[in-house]
Amino acid sequence: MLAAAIASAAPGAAQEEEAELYRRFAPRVRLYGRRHLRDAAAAQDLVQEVFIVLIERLRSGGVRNVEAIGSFILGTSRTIAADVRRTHHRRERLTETFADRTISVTPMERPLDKARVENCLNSLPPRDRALLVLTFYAEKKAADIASTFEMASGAIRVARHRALVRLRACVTGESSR
Amino acid sequence: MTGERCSRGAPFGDLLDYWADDLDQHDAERVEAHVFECAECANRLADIATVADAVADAVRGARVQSVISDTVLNKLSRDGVRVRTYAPEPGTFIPCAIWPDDDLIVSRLRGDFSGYDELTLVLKGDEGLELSRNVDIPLISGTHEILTATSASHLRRLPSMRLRLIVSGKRGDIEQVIGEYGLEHGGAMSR
Repeated sequence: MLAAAIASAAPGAAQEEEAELYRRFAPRVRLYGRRHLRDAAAAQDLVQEVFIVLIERLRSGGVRNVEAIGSFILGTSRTIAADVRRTHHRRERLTETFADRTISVTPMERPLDKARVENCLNSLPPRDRALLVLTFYAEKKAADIASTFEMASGAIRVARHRALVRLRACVTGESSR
Repeated sequence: MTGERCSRGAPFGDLLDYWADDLDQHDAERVEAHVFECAECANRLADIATVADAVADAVRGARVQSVISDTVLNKLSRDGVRVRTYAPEPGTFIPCAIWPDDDLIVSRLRGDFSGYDELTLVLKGDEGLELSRNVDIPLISGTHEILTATSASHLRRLPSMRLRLIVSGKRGDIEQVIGEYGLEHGGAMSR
């Protein structure tokens, strides 16, 4: 267990484990931040702030149940994201706190081939295309789309799911089920 | 992203609904708790986010041909996309051209499109040459208007020609033309 190894090591001695913990959970915190803060930069700030708290607490033995570290990270993400929303406060302590770290991890979301995405999107049936545009660009909820499509909200969610699977299958070359 | 559930039994559809903000708070928190425990679902959610971003980028980059709504059109304008709009009346031709700073061309087609089972939008060039066909387009701007967006870069490649946008629909087994809209495409212009 990574968290247990960090908690039982001398402060700063488990750098490999800390880096691995970051590698595993930073993308999830970033997704949480993007979903709730609706801003990529704010989401990245959230990742940094959560990991400052997490590593400090692990090093000082402040995490009671290291077996449920995912739950602790989510709780910390919720608390800090609420704080960010309320105050728009940004802390920039990561570099200071981890200046001695030899392992640096810069997580990147896997990029997609833009031209292929466009070709695939433009080759989808018009309803699928419009559904994805309304969902991911106009940020319309299923209930809003349902009223314009004259369909039930549940049917929109199913259709959107299928449209996304078709698009991704086309982009990645995988078969869709 | 191809399976319906992760190995722990959580449905993939929930992740998409979560990302699209279509779950109530209780269900959203349940999905979040699962994602922080399940690497497989974390990866799937990242996949969804990546594809969602790619779709938004393509639209924002004016590279998607689609029927759109005024909501989408307004957001495009807010995002700095330079939109040129033409509103040909049924049965007429109006002059149109693509200027160097145009990003997106929107055709605003008016007519009574209500009561049809399947609407088809066809773009034809001179002498009936079919340039595109979109079958079963959704009416997302009400029953009396269709907004269709085309990338300016795509249209810029077309030579000067007469273009016809033809909207047809089915009532029962019978397909009929509802409206035919003409554009005298002057090609790519320069200032």
